[in-house]
Amino acid sequence: MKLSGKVAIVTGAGRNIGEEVSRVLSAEGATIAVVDLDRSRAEKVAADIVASGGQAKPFICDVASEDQIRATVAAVVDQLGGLDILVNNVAMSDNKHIFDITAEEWNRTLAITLTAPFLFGKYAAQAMVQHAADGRIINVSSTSGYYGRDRAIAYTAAKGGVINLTRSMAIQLAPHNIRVNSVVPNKIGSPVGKDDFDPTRPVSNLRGRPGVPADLAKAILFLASDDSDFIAGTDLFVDGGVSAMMPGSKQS
Amino acid sequence: MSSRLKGRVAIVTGGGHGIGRAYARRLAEEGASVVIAEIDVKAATSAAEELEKEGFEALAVHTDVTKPDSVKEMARLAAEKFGRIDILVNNAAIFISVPMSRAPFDEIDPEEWDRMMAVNVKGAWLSSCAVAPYMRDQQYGKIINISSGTALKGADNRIHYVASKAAILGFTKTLANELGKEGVCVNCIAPGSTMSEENPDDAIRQRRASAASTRAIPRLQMPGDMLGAVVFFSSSDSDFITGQTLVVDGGSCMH
Repeated sequence: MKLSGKVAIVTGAGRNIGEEVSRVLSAEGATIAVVDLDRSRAEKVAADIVASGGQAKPFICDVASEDQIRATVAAVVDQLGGLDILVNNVAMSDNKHIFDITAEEWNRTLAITLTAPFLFGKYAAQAMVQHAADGRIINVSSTSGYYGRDRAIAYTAAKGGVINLTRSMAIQLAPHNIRVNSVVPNKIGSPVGKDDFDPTRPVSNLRGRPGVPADLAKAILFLASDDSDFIAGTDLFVDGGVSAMMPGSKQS
Repeated sequence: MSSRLKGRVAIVTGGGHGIGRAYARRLAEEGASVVIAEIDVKAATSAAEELEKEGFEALAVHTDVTKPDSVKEMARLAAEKFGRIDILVNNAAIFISVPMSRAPFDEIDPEEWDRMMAVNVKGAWLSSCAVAPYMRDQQYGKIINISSGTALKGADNRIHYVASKAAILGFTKTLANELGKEGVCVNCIAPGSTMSEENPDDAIRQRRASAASTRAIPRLQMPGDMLGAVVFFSSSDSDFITGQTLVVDGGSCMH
C-alpha cells in the first residue's frame, strides 16, 4: 500500500470525484477526513469506507468560512493524529454569462473554488510543517481553467487561478517538504454541483468514452504517492486527450 | 514492489545504458517482461542477463532505431518471445552514451544535426510504427516518449538536441490523436537535467548541480526520479490520460 499511516483531507468529499478520491486513497492505506458541507453525505461516505475496512471520519465544513476551515484542519489533526495529504477538490460553478452574473454570485464562486483551496492550503501546510510531515497537496483545477468558455465566467477565472496558485504554493512550500501539484479534469463524472452522471452527455475525446471519477482519483493517488517524488508545480491533464486535439475536432 | 504491470510486455529503446536501463529494471520489478532494445549489443545483453538472474523476464535485441527493418525485427522478436507488446518507451537518443556536442547553433556539424534528428525524432517515429500493428490488434497499448525540460524553456547551446526534443512534444499529441481510437495512450515525460552519466566528471557534476538551484526542490535529479512517472504512464492507472507531457524536474519548469 502506497499511503499506509498517512492522514488525508479530501474537500467536497460527499459525492462524485471527492467521494471516489476518498475511496482510492483509503484503499492505499490512508485515513480519510471526509470534508463536506452536507452532513448526511459526509457521514455516508465515511461509513462506507469504514464498512469496507478502511479508516475515515466525516467533518462538516462550510468552506466559505475561514474560521470553519481553520477549525476543520485543527480538528482533523487532533482527531486523526496528524496531516500528510490535502486534496482541494471542492468547487462550484456559476454557469453564467458575463452580462448575467452579479458581483455576489462572482464572489461566491471565487470563494468556494479559489479562496477555499488557498485557505485549506495555508492551514493544512502549517499543520504539516508543525508535524514535520512529508506533505502533499493536490489541487483540482479544470480544463475550464485553461480554455475560455461561452459561460461560467467566474468558474473559469477561479480554475485558472487554481493552476497558478498551485505553482506559487509549490515554490513557497517546497522548502517545507511539501509538494504541491494540480490535476486538470475535463467532464469527469457528474457536472460540478450535480448528483447524477448522465451517460448520454456528449463527449469528444481521444479515448472515446466519458471520464469517470476513478480516472481522476488514480492520477491524484499518483501525485500523493512517492512515485511522483520529484514532481512539483505541475498540472496533470486527465482529460482523455481533449487538450491534444484540434479545437472543434471530433475524434470519438 | 507491486505488480501493476503483471502480464504486460514492455520495450525500452536505449535500455542498456543510464536512464533507459533504470526504466527497464523498474518496469520488470512492476511485473512486466522487458525487451532491452539497444544499439550497444553488449550493454543490452548485460542488462537483460542481470534482470534474468534476478528472476525477471528480459530479452536483449540489437536495435538501430534509425532503420525501419531493425525496429520491425525488434517488435517481431518481442512478440515472438513474450506474445504481445503493451508498452513502448521511446528512450533511445543521442545524448550521453552516443554523445552530442554542446556547441553554439552555428558551430554544429550538419552531419551531427542529421544524426540527432535521425535517432531522437525519426527513431521514435519508426519504433512507434513498428509496435503499432501489435497494439492495434490488442486494442491496447501505452507509448511513452521522452522529451526534455530544455524543449520547454530553451538552453544556451546544443540547439539540435533541444529542437529534436521539442519535436517530440508535437509528435506525442499527433500520435495520441491517431492512435486514440485504437485504445493506445501516448504520453511524454520531460525530465530536467539528470545525473544519468555512468561516470560523471567534474564538469558534468557542476552542470547538474547548477540546474538544481533553479528548482522548487533544489537537489540533483537522478534517473530514479523518473521511474514513478514511467510506471504511471505504463499502467492502467493512466488510462484516461493521453497526449500529455509531464515535466519531472523538481518544479523548475512548471508546465
